[in-house]
Order: sequence, then structure tokens, then C-alpha cells
Amino acid sequence: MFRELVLGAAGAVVAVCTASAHVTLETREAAIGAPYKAVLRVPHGCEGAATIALRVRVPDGMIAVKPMPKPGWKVDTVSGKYPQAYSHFRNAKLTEGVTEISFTGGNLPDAFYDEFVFTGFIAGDLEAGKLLYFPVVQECEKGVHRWIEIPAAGKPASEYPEPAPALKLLPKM
Amino acid sequence: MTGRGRSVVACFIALVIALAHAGEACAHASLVKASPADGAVVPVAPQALNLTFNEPVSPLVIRLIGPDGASIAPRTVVGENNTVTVTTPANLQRGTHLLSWRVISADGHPVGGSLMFSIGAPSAQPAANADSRAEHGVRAVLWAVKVVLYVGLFAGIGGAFFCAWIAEPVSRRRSEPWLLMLLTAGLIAAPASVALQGVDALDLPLSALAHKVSWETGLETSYGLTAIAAAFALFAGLFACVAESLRLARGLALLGLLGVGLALSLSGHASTAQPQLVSRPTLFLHAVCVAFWIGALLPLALGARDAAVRAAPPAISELRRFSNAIVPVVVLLLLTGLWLAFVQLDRIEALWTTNYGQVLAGKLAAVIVLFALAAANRCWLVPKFESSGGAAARPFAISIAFELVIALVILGLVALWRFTPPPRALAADASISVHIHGEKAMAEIEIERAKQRSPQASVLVLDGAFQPLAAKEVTLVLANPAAGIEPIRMNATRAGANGGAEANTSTWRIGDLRIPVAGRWNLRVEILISDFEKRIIEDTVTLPRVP
Repeated sequence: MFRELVLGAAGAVVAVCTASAHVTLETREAAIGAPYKAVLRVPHGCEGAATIALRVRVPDGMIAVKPMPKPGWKVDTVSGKYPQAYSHFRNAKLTEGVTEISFTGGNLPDAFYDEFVFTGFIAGDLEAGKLLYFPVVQECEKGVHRWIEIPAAGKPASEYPEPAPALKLLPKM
Repeated sequence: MTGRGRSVVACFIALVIALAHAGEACAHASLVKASPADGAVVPVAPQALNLTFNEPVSPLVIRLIGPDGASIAPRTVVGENNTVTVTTPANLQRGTHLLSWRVISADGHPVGGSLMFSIGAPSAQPAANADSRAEHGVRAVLWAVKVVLYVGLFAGIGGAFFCAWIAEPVSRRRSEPWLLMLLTAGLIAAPASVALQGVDALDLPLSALAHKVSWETGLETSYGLTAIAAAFALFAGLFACVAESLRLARGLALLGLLGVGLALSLSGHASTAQPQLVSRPTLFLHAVCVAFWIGALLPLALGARDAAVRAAPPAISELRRFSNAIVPVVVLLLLTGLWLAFVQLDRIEALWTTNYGQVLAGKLAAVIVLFALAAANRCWLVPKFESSGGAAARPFAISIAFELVIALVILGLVALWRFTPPPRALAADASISVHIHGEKAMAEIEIERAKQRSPQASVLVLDGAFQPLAAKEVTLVLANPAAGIEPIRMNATRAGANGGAEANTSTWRIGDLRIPVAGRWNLRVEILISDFEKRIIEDTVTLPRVP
């Protein structure tokens, strides 16, 4: 029993800590063809420097995106054409929308934690079981973290110093 | 409590512990400040090195590597609050040092990195000729082993060929133990020379012969192929000597003789001279002819000695056969030799102005003596020997023994060529190039080791279809887990950023790239294409030490 306890605790610690050492998504699984609220968790700045901007590239297949306003931060979006038309609700097709969101002008000290939120819809045309990556650029008063590394096939994200937050796609509910 | 119940309780407790931990600062520890800073040049050796992190850490592994590539044990390593202090021994050398650190933060997440600082001034590249004593040791041993290998190849296999095709049975029996000895020595020298080649290529001390990396590197160089071909040829010669049937012995000896040519033409300066299509076959023929000639000397010398000492009947018929066969061989030997010298030298003064030329001049002088002796034998001693037998045996035996000694001198001189690049190749300085291949990107990395200057690297980034790849940032990450060296990150700058008219975004430069120890390094190239897109390619490569 003691062994189970230790192994369990070790496993849980590793899981919790690797999760919060990077910029990550709070909810890491979502069904296709359903709404999704993305909460980006920012646990630290850049080598001690405060975060002053966060920019996220909306992945292809997340449509109808709207950022949540954030007091103290200026929120902007970049819109553009999607690489393909995605079906939305019954017979609607979406071909363009928000592709990038930026939060600027704020100041998040390294010693504090914060979350950045936007919502959208995971297109039903996507393939369940795949991962959707949300590349994030974290700009600080000094330095930058680019959470944009997409693991090569067969390599775990933990082998990368700055992996992009990932969302696992589940089958349609 | 049932087993299942116990597991549930265990999981619950585990979760509580985990959550308690999660409440702590559960982030990456990151290095905030280092003193001396990465890349700093400090006037005197620092008493202590300080690494300051953004949260409390405890040191796991701290490694300090000096300018000579040797690991230096720190006196103490103390972690206090956010700072790790490494006190250094008093006698740090001048030059560039590497500090590799691995720490663990409160959450149990280890992080590591490396930084470099220099005492006095950054280590300069030593001048090409100012080799260390250790290197001289390696080279002397490499030279000696190569001479043994050459003797095995030329005298051993050539001798086996002579015995099988030309010699009388009595002469064959007489030479057999000698040839077996030479061939066995060659078979020991062949693998030894591979490891030595690796040690020399990596610039390691002789003690590194035991390391796997020396053998791997030696085999990876073109010399590896030569050694393998040589070993096959030596085995063929060995079996030719002991074969019962003459037919089999002849086949094996011929195979061995051709193997000598193949082995020699697979690597080396001469085989890579342009046009290779001509150079390689020329070298092949040259080596086969040399083996034919030198191989005959030992059995002939043994026969002449027996005739002189024990008044054994001279083997006139084998001498006659050899005399007939050697004429076209010598002509071919001369022609191929002249062609190779012509290609390698490209101007006549190189004969005395370059090391390569001096070795060649020495070899030519020895060859002239050898020819003179051979001519004297053929025109004067052999007819006398044939007509009067025993009386003329003594001068003939002495003359052939002398020929043998000169042949050995020639082989010794030829083995020296390993260390003297021909004038043709001198222009191309010893630079290291590495190619890293990925699906979506590739990189050509060239490390230039110029004299008395920091080693420079240029990185050319290409996409998967060999087209230049426009990048925003390029970062090189080097790590050597086997040597305990944590990743060294180096940001490249764009080549000719504010000079050239065309903004070249695919060629990048690193002003001061150092490789503290030789060995197998994980090399990663991170290519930032746009804000959100990064391509990473990596590979494991064997690199020599670049101080």
C-alpha cells in the first residue's frame, strides 16, 4: 500500500506540476461539434520579468471565436479567411472569422497568476482523437516565451521546453 | 479493508499530497541572473559562481569544464534561497570555461542549462602546428600502427601472392611462418588503427582508446572502409598461406592482392584527388604493383640466405619467373606513381616547401635507391647467381636484405602522409560541417576553426525541398547527456544583417561557438518562421573538441 501511495503521489505531483510550469489550457479535452471555452493559464513571466502581452493563434477548426474582455488589458482580434469552410450548427457554413487574439497593455508580475479567456466552437468537420494546438506568444518587459512548439510524431510534449497548449478532440456527443 | 478499498485510500492520500504541492510555487525554476554572466570575460578567476533563480532551488549536478576540456571539481556547491553558489578551486586556467547546471525546484521539476565565461580572454584556437604533447603521442602510435598494417598488407599479402603464384614449394614452406606472423600483426593493427583514427579525429588523449566513441568515429570516417577492406585482404592472405590446394591458395592470394589495392584506394588524400574516377583506379593499380614487388622480397631474401648459409640449392626457376613478371609491374608502378605525384603536388617547389612534398621527396630518393639495387641484381647478381650458385649467394642475399630495409623505409614514409595534407588540400582549412535533416526543414552547419580567433559557425537553413528558408530567429542548442552537459543555447545572428544589399534570411552566424568536450552531441536547430511557427530539427552528431 505504501508503494501505491508513493507512486500515486509522485504521479500526481508530476502531472500537476508539468501542467502548471507552462502556459496551458485549463480544459484539455473537448468534443467536436460543440462549444468550447478556452482558459489560458499563465503561471509565470519570463525569467522573473512581468508579462505585458499575450497573443494566441486560434487553431484551424475552432470557429466563431470571441475573446472575453479583461480589465486592465486591451483585447484585439485579427480576422481572416479559414483554410476551409466549416459547418456551424445546422446548415450554416463559416469561411472566415477570428484567427488571432491579443491581450496587451496589462502587467502581470512574475509572482502572480492570471487567466486569459475566449470562447468558440469546435467544428464538427474535425477528426476526433487528434490534438488541436493553440500557439501562444508571451511577451514580457524583458524577454519572450513562445509556447509554440508542436511535438514531432511519437515524441511527448514534455520533451520540449516551450510546448504549445494542446486540446484533445473527443467524438461528437 | 479490502485491496480495492486500500487502493482508494491510497489514491485519496496521493491526491491530497499532490494538491498540497500544487499550492506551492509550481512553476519552472528559471535562471534570472548569473555571475559571471553567460559570455562574460572576467579579468581574474572568480572565487565563486552565483546562479540566481526566480524561486528556491536545490542543486543536483554542477559541472565545470576548463579550457582544456577537462572537468574541474567545484570546491563546494550550496543552494540557499534562490541562489546556488559554486566555489571554485584556486587554480583556474585562463580561457573559456563552461558551467553546466541542473537544479530541482520545490515542485520536483528538474531544469538545466549551461553557460560559458572566460577568464582573462576567450580561449583562442591554437595554431595548427602547435600540437599538444598528448597529440604527438597519439600520432606516434598511429604512425607505428599504420606501418605495421602496411607491412602486413604489402609484405604479408604480397608474400602470400608470390608464394602461391611464383615460388617453388620449398620456398613456400620456408616463408610460411614469416608471412603468417606479418599477416597476424596486420590483423591486429587494422582494428587498432581504426580506434586511433577516431581518437585523432576527435582530438582526444590516448586513454580515450577505450571509449566507444573513438571506435564509432574511426569507423565512420572513410578510413573505416579501408580498415575493413584491409582486414578482409589480410584474412585472404592468411588462408592463402595455409591452404592445402595450390589452386585455392592462388585464388585467395589474388583476392588478397586485389584487396590491398581496394583498401588503399578507399580513403586517403590520393584517392580523393579530383578527378576521383582516375585517382582511385590509379591508386589501386599502384598499391597492387607495390604489393607484388615488396611481397616478393621476403621469400627471395629467405631463399638467398639459405643458399648462402646452408648452401641450399638456389631456386633458379622462381627467380627467372619473377624477373620476367616484374618488368611490366615496375613500368606500371612508375607511371601510376608519377601521375599521383603530379596530381597531388601541382607545382614543383612543393617538393621542398611543404611537409607533404618533403615526405614525397624522401620516398622518391628511397625508390631510386631501390631501383638501383634492383637493377644491379637483375643485370649483374642474378646471372652470376644462376651460373655459379653458392659463391654469388652472399652478395645477392645482402642486396635483397638491403632492398627489404629500403622497402620498410618507404612504407614508414608513406605512413607519414596521414599527417601531412597535400598542397592541394592545404587551402581548405580544418572546418567541421554538419548536416541536419528534417521533414520540413534542414540545416547546414559549418564550424570554422580559424587560427587565434574564436571559432565561428554559419548555419544555412533550408526547407524540406532544399530551398532557402526565411527565418525570424535561429537558435542552436547543444547538449551532451553522456558527458553530463546540459543544453547550451546559442542565438544566431543574421549574416550580413546591415551590410549586404540583399537581406539574406537563410544564412545565420554564431560568433563564438565552442564545443567543450569531444563526443556525441545532441544538436538541435530551432528555426522561428513566424511569431507562431517554429520548426525544430535535431540529430546526434559526433563532434571534436573546439576549445
